[in-house]
Amino acid sequence: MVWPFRSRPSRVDPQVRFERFRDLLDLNASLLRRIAEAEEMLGGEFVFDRQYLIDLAEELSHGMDDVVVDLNAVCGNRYLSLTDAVERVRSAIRADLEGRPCSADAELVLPLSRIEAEMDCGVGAKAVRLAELRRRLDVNVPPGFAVTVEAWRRFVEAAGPGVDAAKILATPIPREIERAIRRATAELAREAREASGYAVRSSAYGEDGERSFAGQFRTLLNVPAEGVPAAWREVVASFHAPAAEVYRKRHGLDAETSGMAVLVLPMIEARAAGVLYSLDPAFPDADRIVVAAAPGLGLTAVEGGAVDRFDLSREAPHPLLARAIAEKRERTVPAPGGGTRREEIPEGERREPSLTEKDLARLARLALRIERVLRFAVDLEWAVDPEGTLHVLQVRPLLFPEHDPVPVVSVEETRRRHRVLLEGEGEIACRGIGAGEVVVVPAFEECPRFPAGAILVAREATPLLAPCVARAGGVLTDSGGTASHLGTVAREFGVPAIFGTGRATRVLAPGTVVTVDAEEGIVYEGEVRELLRRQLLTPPPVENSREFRILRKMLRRIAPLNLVDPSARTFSPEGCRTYHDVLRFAHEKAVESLTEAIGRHGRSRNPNLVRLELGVPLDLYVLDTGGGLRPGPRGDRITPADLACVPLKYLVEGLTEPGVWARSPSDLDLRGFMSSALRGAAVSSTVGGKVERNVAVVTRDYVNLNLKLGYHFNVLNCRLREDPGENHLFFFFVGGVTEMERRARRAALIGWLLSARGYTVETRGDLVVGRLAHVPAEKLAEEMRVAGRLIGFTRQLDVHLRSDEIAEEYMRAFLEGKTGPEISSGESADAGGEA
Amino acid sequence: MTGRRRVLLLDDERIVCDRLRPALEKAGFHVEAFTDSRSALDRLAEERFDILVTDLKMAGPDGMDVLADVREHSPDPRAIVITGFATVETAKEAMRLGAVDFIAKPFRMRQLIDLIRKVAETPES
Repeated sequence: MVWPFRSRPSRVDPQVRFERFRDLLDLNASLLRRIAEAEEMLGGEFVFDRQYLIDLAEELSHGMDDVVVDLNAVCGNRYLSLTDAVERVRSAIRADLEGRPCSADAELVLPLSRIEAEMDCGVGAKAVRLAELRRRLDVNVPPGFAVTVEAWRRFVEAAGPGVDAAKILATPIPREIERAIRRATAELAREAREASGYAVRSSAYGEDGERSFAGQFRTLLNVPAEGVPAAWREVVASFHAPAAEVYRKRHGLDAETSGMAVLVLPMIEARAAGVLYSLDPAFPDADRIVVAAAPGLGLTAVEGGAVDRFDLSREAPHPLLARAIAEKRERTVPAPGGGTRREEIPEGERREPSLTEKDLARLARLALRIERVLRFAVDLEWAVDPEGTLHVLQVRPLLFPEHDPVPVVSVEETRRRHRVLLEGEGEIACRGIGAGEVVVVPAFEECPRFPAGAILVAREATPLLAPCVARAGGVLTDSGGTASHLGTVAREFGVPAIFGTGRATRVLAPGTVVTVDAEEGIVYEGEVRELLRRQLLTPPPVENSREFRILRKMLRRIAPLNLVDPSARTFSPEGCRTYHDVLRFAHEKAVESLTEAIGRHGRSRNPNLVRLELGVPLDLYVLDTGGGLRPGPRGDRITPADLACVPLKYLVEGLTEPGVWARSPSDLDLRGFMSSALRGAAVSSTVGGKVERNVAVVTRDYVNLNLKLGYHFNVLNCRLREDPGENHLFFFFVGGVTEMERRARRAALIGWLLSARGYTVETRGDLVVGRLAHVPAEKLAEEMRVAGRLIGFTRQLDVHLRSDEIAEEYMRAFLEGKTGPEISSGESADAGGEA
Repeated sequence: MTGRRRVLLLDDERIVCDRLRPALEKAGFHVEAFTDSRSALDRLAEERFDILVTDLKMAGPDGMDVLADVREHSPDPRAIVITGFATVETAKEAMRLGAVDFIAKPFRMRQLIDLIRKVAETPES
């Protein structure tokens, strides 16, 4: 594919350009491999230290510099500004390593819906956990937003040197901050329709981590909308209060390396509220849940006023083990016009329990469900509204300060006590312990309502399962490896996962309860209490240790790929937000630079350009940048036998398979035909396409194939070596004949098909981008054959897709290796493939 | 393996001790972990250990010093050294100082467990 931007003719010797291009390919592969390895570190299987992080940062940094140099050598210095993109990422990573809060990407306010894990340095752990609960569980968490650490920092800067609480309170709120808070409050008011006021509370960076900061900062309740900015300032001031300074000093923290974010939530009209500990903090070995509750807003519960205490069994149906009902003279209620007031409780109601047994059982179930997904014992703040609905207002890990180390039970011992269902099979994708009911998700199916905390069992580790993984208590698959996209998802959410067990779907019966020990690679029948308890009492170092947190942050700046569509305006050096983006950009532009020269000068200027005779209606040229063709004399035409390029050979095998190009004449209806006839120009402008030739740029183990077939564009990019760590396949597809609806339907189906085959897929309109990385050579060879068949198949597909049902039938048939129910009967080939 | 093998683990990075200790205990070893080499040396002087697993690059007496000291004063434990990516050469040097094997960070927990088992079960030459 050739993009609109044309280069000045390069005067660099083509052989030198080819050499630099090959260098770039090697760099690309080795850096992507390094990134994938770093992602695997998060699974908890590996032991690494701070030096590893420093080495990783260093190595990637040098590698990226080399990428920029090589790209510019190939493209005649056209992309020197890519250096700035590399520098941006590099300095952010440096800040992560030095433990400085990240200011580069902080906004002034962020709604909970946009807050993700590892944003804790921007919005504080409290906001991150609430956002996580909203995303991963069906729990009532109010909507809300965080005023970020960045807003705090700008405010403190505006307040000038020698800042303390009094000075903060006397400083006017900067206009940009005030405006951002007001706008966010107005949006929140729309979302939480009946909100009469707002709760404004701290979510400091560093709070709720190893140090709880409990009670250090102010919380304001029932703040009217117009008062939210001033309430924010009050909470911020409490961060600079003498008590908080002393606390920080005592724990070796300082205001520079922490920071104050503030959370704004709509008030819940509470009948009762309080806290819950999923284990008794004083007696963690006792199998009980502790609930403290008070009528009204429950502020008294955290302030140590008169509260009811209930001890419940952790065992369903959570019977009440003990209760202590206090005499409650007052309750906290919202005051008219804002704030709260104490209201006297009538004499006869003072000794009434503030929660019913039914409320308590529901609360217990909720807490254990949350515990199962978050994998630590929890300290919840909750509220019950007058309708009896439970709301979670805060969740944090329950700390057991001076608790004796939990006795370790040896694997031998556990194995003796419990029946082993699976052992030593597969790879651990993410360490940890999880227990729950087995839910088997059938192959190639999505499961939008996966039960929270259940154990997900599936044949393949396909990216289709990603939404289920976020809700699962553990994941087991028959096939797939730790470097797969699903492995990354499991690590992102810290879900214990073992991939490639070979037989999980056969061994584990749906509905039975199992315990996944993804530390030892064992699956036990039933719940293994000693393992689960140990996990609850010892917060996994994976989540708490500094090194893991830094690595996660670094990887957020390294691994995500934002530049997927080369035709998008953001596909530019300025658009590169991560190292992966830089790699993608450099690769795309290098290939483009090599192929656009072909477009203009043809073979006269490219002695390495030959035409590949395939015996199918597809005009394909091959540009060998070294090692892609068998040595020896040849003319300007070659046959597949002359190819040395391994991935292209497999692709050609699929492409020329009998039946692939035998199609019935297209049954375009008039509307479809008119639409396609009118679309010719539009398609090429969609991707800036001026594909003058279908070209495969090759080396011995690499191919980049640009195709324009009829009206659609296809880019395939593959590196195939023995070492899976160096392998990848990139599949890009856009355009097509007929109206948008059909094209979009086809795109969705191609996306679905690629997902089912293990690709990470993005679809947007009629654009499909699929990526497959770090797969064994054998699997990749098969995928190239399938891709070859798919190219021929999609060539015709869109004109048959009259409905989703038909489309799906085609795809299923294709997946099963058939050519499709309707199109297999044809005889003559459609010659429209000539470009 | 009969009886619980005694392992002394020394790494000045807490994360390494925190991660390895429970994993080694689960694998059936008796483990004492130290992040400070002086305390480790004191302990080695007063108790017998089968295996010493030590990092090489540390503040205070480093892994080399520990190995030298052990060779002189407490000859019992067989030493495995943990080394960073860049110091494989040093690891070889450590083996000249008497370490029986080495493992380079980052490594899989399983690899170290297997290595300790192998070392523990190899008869002394």
